[in-house]
Amino acid sequence: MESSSEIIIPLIDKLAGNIEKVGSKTKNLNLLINNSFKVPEGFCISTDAYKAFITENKLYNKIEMEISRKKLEDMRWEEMWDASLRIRSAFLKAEIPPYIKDQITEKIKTYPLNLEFSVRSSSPSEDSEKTSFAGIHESYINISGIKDLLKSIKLVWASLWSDRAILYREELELDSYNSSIAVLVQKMEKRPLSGLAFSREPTGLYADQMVIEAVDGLLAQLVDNVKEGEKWVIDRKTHKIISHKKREEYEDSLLNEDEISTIITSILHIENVIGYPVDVEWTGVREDFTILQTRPITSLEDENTERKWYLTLTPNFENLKALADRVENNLIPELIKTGKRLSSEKSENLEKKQLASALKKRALCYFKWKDIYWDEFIPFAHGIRNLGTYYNDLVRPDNPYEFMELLKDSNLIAAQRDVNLKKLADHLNNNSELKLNIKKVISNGLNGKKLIKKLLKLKQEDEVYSKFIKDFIELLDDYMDVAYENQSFKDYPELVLNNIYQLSENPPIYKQKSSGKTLLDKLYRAAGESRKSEVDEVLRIGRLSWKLRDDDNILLGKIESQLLTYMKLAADILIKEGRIENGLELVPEDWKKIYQGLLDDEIKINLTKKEDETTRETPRELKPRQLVGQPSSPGIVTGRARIINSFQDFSKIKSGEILVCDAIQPQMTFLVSIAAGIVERRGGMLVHSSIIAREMGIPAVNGVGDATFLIKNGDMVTVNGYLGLVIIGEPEFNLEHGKYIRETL
Amino acid sequence: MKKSIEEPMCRDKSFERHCKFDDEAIKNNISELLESESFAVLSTQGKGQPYASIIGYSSTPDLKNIVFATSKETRKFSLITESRKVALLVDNRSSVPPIINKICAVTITGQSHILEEATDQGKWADLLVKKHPYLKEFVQAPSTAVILVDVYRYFYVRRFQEVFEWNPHQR
Repeated sequence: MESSSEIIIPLIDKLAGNIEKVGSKTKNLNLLINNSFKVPEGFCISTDAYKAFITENKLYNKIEMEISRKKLEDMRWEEMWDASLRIRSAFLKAEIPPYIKDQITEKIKTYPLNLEFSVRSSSPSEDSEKTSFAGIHESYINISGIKDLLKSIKLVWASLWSDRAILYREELELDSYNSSIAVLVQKMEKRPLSGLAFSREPTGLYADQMVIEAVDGLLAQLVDNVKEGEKWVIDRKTHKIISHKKREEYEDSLLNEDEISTIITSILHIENVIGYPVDVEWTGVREDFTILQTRPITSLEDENTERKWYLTLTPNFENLKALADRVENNLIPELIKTGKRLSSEKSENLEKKQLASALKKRALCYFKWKDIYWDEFIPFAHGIRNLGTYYNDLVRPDNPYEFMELLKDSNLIAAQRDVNLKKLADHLNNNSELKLNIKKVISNGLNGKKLIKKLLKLKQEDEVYSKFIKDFIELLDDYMDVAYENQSFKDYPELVLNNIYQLSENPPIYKQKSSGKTLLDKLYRAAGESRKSEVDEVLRIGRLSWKLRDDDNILLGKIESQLLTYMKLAADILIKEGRIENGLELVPEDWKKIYQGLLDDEIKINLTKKEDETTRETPRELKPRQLVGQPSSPGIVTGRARIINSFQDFSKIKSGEILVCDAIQPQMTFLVSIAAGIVERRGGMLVHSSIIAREMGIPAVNGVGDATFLIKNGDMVTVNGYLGLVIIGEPEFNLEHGKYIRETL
Repeated sequence: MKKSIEEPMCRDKSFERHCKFDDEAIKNNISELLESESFAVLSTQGKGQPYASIIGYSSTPDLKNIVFATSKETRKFSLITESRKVALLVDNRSSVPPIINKICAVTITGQSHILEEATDQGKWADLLVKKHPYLKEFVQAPSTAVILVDVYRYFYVRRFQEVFEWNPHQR
């Protein structure tokens, strides 16, 4: 580190105008100070400090290892979150170089003891006129004491590599060697009134308007939707109020006309100083009017909708709590009830009109719940990630996924299903004759209803037989009436029976009870007595989120299965009438066509045809030798590959094989138990297969792009779940030892 | 919008029904690497002792052969006379930032042949000198041997641990 590097730069310093050293946020505040605006006193920890921190802790390579272990465009959002979590964990464990720590400590000593600070990111690449990237990097408020301050500084540095930042890596020009971030430390301003102001209406639709919002208290409460704000839309030219939205249940207004006028004049002045329409965070009014931060307004109009949606997946804790209450107390009980109600209704002997109405009911129900799944359940999965970062921040474990041990106690529907499967497998093992007969039934290749008929004919008078068959049929009704890939497991009893048989042959060994209790003690100790209830709440939401994440697919799958069952019934009629082709795969989206077909005999029905999958080509000359993914469950195992490309492939799985598939869903996790290892295209440490594989001690690697193309059925595959590697073939040198014919030029 | 996204924990997703893996691209990577780099590490063996040396090399466009030259007094020459099986390593370490994921390397296994001066040494020597003109005198010296490697296989490594194997004779 050069001795001339400036680490601490006061906001009023000339250097605070150097964007490369201090970042945009600091530079903007420095501009405002130079233009006589009041901003909270503070200083900037320059980008030199960040660079010294990552150089001295050799973090460049760590960052590179994480963000370029596979092509970024091939990384799923969840894999970015994983990469970011590992980087964050490495930053937290690294030491701030002593000379930097000393300078920060000395600076803090110049302030009164126990003063609270805000610690914000100030990156040279954020808050530009083209892109604001609001919320991409982290900010912390109410920080006091040097220990917490230094920790917050490290977390702000780590947020240069947040999942959201990685998502915007191209626009941010993220590069481990050239990117840096400064940290803005300011005295907390706690005035009774705060707000936002936009010098131009932020959606860009009304260029002649400006917007002011105010909240009773700290600004964070408005930004995080904790408190309802008051809003004014104002004409930029005349400064007249166009509309005013008061707070519910409050008659009085937070700002009077004079105060509104002060804000209008100020933000238009700021727009002039910065040179672009601005978004301003303010606090205090009249002579106390203080600017917390300002940045150019960038319209989100052209934003990639997919990314925009991803950004909603990280609700703050207050919103997460509200979501948890809704999910736990309303949504899930209602979803369970709906599934039960629909499956209890009789589907036999319905008239065409009755069938149409029953079909419509199921379709509307399914699509309603599908929307809820997207809008509420998926964002709620953030509860797991929230617990992860909470745990890591307090405990700083070596393994950033240690927190997952805390989640194991959740009573998943899939786990209950697996217990029932195991009971049936045990039943077979206790009755060798029954087991032999079941083996015969399986090898006869019977499927669907024929298989059930055959089972029912087996020694009805024998209690051993009748109990097994009764329990088997109950299992199909209770747990297998779920759809996956437009098919219901209930329609494939042969697959379930085969699974039970394989389980009886090779009973899975569950790992010993987790160390969850010890970890919980560790977490309580790190948090301290005063934060016990906070720990409990974070944990409760994390566990609920974990359980829901698995259960919601199964519960929604049940409703989808209901819809598909009725679509099939209707399709049977339409096939008989010669109005649709036989053998077409039904997709829920086609329900309306079938529904209309039932009601109107004249109408033409064009069902969606499944796309031809001829693009499934495998490389011809090149042989993949070792593929890289994420180590999603530790252990190492070698076995023959079983590629799952279709629903039918499930029934071919044999004990000891390596399951190679696109994505494992909770509906099909029971199939995992007989596999020796798992290779999955879909990546992420928190995906369903990782959960089950870890619990059962099955080595697994996920995030292996093209896994189902590059590996072939029967290939010898080694799954290295410690390092996230998949080795194909044996390390032979047979070609080198064989006869070789020399070629000439 | 929603249906087309593959969300982290989502069940209805757009399956990637096409293989992104590109056979030709990786072969081109191997070819470009061999072309752009000038030097390789040569591994030889003798009496159970592996040995490594740095060499200047040239390869044929079909990648079936690699040629280099060595003084006949060297350890590597005597080891080649003992065992013709060799391995070579070519990598781009010197042309990328020192980040392990950015390094590409290819391990080449093959069999070496000491070329007879009178027969076919000429064209192979020309191939080598074309890439390394400064080696002309060295290659032509009577004390130098031109060695031809018939390549068995390429093991191409990228992103630290991703490995693909290619046999140039299987075109």
